[in-house]
Amino acid sequence: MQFAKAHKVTTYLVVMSSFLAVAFSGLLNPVIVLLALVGIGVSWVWEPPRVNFDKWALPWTIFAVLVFLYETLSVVGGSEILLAGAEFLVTLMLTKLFNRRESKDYMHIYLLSFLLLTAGTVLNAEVTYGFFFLCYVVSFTWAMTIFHLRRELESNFLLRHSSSDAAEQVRVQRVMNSKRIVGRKFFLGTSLVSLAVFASALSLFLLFPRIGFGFFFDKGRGGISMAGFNEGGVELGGHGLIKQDTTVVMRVEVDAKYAGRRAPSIHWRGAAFDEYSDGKWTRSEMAPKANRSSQVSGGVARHELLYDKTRLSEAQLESRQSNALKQKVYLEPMGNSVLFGASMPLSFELENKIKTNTRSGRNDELRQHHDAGLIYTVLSNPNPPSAQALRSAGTTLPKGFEVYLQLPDEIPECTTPTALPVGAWKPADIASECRVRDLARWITRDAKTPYDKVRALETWLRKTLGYTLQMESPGAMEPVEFFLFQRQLGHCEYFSSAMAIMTRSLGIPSRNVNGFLGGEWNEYDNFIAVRAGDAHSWVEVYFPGEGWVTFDPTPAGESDLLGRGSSSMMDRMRRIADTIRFKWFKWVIEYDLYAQINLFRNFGRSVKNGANQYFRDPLRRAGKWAKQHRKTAGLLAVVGVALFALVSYWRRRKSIDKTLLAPKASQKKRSPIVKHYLATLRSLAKRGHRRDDAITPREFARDLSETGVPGAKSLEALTEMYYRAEYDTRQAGDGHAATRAQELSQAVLDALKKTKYKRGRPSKVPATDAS
Amino acid sequence: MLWRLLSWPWRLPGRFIRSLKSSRTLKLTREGKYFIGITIGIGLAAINTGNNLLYLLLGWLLSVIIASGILSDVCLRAIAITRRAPKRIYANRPFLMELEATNGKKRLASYSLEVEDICQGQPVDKRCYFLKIPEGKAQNTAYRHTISRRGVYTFEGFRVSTKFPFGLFRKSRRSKNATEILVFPSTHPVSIPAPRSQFLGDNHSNTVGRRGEFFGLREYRDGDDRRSIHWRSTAREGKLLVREYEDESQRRVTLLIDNALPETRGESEEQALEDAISFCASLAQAYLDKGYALRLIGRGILVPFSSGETQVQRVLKALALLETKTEDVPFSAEIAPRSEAVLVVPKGISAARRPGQASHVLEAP
Repeated sequence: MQFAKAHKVTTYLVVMSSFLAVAFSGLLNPVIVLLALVGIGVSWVWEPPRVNFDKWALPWTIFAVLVFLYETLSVVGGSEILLAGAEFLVTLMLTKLFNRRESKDYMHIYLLSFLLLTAGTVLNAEVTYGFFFLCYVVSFTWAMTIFHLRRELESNFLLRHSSSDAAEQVRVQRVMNSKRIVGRKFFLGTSLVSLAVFASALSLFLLFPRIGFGFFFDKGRGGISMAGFNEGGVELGGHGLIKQDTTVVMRVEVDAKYAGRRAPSIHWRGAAFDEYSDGKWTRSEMAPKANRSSQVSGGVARHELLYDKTRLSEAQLESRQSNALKQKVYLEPMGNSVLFGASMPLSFELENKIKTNTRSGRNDELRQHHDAGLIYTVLSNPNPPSAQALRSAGTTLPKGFEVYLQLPDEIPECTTPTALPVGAWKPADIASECRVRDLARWITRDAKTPYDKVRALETWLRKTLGYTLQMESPGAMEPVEFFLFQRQLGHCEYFSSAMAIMTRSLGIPSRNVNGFLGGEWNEYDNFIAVRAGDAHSWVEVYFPGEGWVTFDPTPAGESDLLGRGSSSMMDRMRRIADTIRFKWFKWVIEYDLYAQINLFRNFGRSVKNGANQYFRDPLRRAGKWAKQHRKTAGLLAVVGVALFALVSYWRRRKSIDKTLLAPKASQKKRSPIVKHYLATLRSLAKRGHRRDDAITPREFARDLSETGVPGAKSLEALTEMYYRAEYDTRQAGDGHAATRAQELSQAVLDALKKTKYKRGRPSKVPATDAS
Repeated sequence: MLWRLLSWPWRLPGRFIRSLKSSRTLKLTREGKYFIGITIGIGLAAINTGNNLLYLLLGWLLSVIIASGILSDVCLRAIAITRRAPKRIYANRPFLMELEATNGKKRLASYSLEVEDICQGQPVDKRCYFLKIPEGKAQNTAYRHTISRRGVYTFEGFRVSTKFPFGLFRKSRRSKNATEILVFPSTHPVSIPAPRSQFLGDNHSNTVGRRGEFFGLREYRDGDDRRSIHWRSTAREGKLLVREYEDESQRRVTLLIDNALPETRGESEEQALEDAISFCASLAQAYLDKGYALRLIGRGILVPFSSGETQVQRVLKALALLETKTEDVPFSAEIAPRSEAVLVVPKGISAARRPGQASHVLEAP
């Protein structure tokens, strides 16, 4: 790719990455997003020679000012300042893209893109931000590297020389059009660098101590707009088709017993309602507040739900937790403060943050306000008491539990006893004004204990009535009556309402519970994804002495299995996407000090285990073996040490040979006379008489002699010997000549030693200095 | 390979110490200062808000800084710079110093390198820029430089620096590569004075003799007499070498330079001497170009008679290194009677013990 084109492409990648990171938040004005996309596209071709930038500078300035005024007014009018700021940044970036003349403009574009990316950290907490952040990291590395080279190139070849230097202009143009500077290898190399940068950024991200104070801000992300679950109450009587919303509202990691696609479905209990009137379940002021005991230890607040008890001993608390089901819940921001847990929840563990404000709701609810999702641990008792225990339950209700027997005026008591039908039941068979109560009595006609009655009601509802998501308006009729006697089809809220009302009509305390049922098992990351479409209603019935027990009268359907929809490719893809999203929220958005401590702890444990596995255990085994075979072990140790020493010596010898012992090629066959001459030259050089390459040895000797350097006469004689030795092979091997050369060399050195030299000065003094 | 892996932990401290010793310096650029400021701002925002995406951004900014440091280090690694000076450098005359940068890395190219030559402890005013030096390749460039005064100058080494890859930091490394460069006095065209011998009727031979004193060996040049080739040395060295003889019948001239200045001297006197030296060098060049055998005599300096290019080199070198003396230091040799001798004296400066027999006494213009 041409250098200039590569720079343009990478710059646009940077711009698009930062813009899309914000645009995918869905918070920007769609018109602005669309216009910006078109503008970015047009700016690609908006450059000389097509366009004269100077001509358009003023209109673009006016445009930017107008947008600024518009955004200011919108902030005054109540718009969010961050959103307005982001939109203005987009405008500025567009303006710069349409006016990219020199490197300064490119620098502004990068700065604006970075600011936009920073705004995205608040506006878009979704996994899309992570994706575009990765794109930004890669493209930024490319763009900044090429930009740097371009700027250096321009400054070195244009600015430092005359701007009118045509040769330099041509040279810069030639480099800009060159395809050799940023080729495939360059992009591959910088991509690897940018991925390393990304990996390093993630590592640093995990390592930064999470000691956020949040003095001025609190992290938050948009809540889910969801149908199906409503913490305020349940209203019957609507019409239309209930939408199957697939938005994940919470992800739950559970014990192995409940993990997997074939595990039994769990009721995720959230809100409970005690008062029913006008076809609506609500929470009355008279409903008892949840009893709980709370304690904080190790940075974790633990809230024990006591239900009908006011206090439990430590032993009781421990015993009820021994067989409890443990769940770790990653709750999305749902716009409410209800904490969910598998029915029946026993305790909730939350990080004891500065802003912890856990409070008890009514009807054994626990609430914690949150804007950015929540992670907590729940211990639940999924196993109800045995049927035998429930059958022998008492009848005395705790104080205040009368609210769970409330029935509205629309379900009146029978003024006169009604004769119940015998045999098969038809709606027309029961036509009294208190027919809901009559029906309850008829269904439970053979049941002796409250438990049997409740079970009979549950079974009857499941088997007799049908399930539909298609709602039909009951008109003026009471919705439960409409459901039981007219339509005989309904969704979970009708079934649970009908059962709760009928149990109450029999004098058995009950309440309507709202939450979620089941969920989808994610085999890629081993969690249950509970979606908005899993919203469900069921009934809790109170048995004195045994507590609240869950009953679900809604006919069991396909939705009861966790592995729902797991076979098709689309479902698999959806679950993979959900896994990525879960990881993103778990490890990025919700990553905090406690997650960090756990991570380090697990890492330390893994290292320790690994060390044990790969070092300590083998060493122990080796030690044991050595004790048993002392002689062999000793021999092996000696051989090992000897080998080590041998190899070390051999390597050292080899390296010494290479560097020191091996004679230089030029010195290999030199005669001793030459060596003496060279040694003499070195001594002279140390004393300031260095021979220049341009001067022949004879000239040098004569110069020294003429300038009266001590020992020069000896040097002249030695030089003549040197000439003969170097150019006349007859002198080689002449022992007498070598001795004579040594004597002469020594004479020069002796003469030099007798002369005092100023330190450093002679080196600058010419050899011809006579002084 | 295995041994390298096993001995790696032992070699690590040595590498660390070497890296500490290495003369690398790091300097923030203007963009780098902004970048650090932004990083600090993002860090504060992340701590204050607890927004994890800001932490992610902070991690990336810090990683960019780390990557910048590593990549610039890789760029500077295994880069060897050598210089090649022109044969003769004259004061006040621009010259081109040729630099060669070699990338000794086997797999990685080096980008955006700036090389500054260090002369007398200071970088020269021109930087050489290498946009890309591919792995295992060398590239050449040159910088133009002017030295204003004669003498010996030491080019100690190079400062190689890079702002690669993001222009946030300038990392520099100094490499030692000392070269001593002799700067000759500035020369300019001058006309030589009319020789005394012309008036005395001496006879001169215009040919170069072959039977003078053996002077030495030098490489063969076009036009040399083939009878002068020293065949034994030629066979030994693998290139043609010829004997040089002093030619007794050549025209001779003695140039005298009075390099004495009073003990109390100012800048004008110093400059006058420099001008005289420059004039003397110009005269010497002119004489030698005309085929004269020339010797140079000064106070404490003597360059014996010789001619040709080698003598030009010798005389210019002597003048380049000529030191200022006081007038009690005598001239190093006497002038033979009736010989051609030109005495160059600094303008406006009188000194004792100047030789009286000079045929010409010239003041530097």
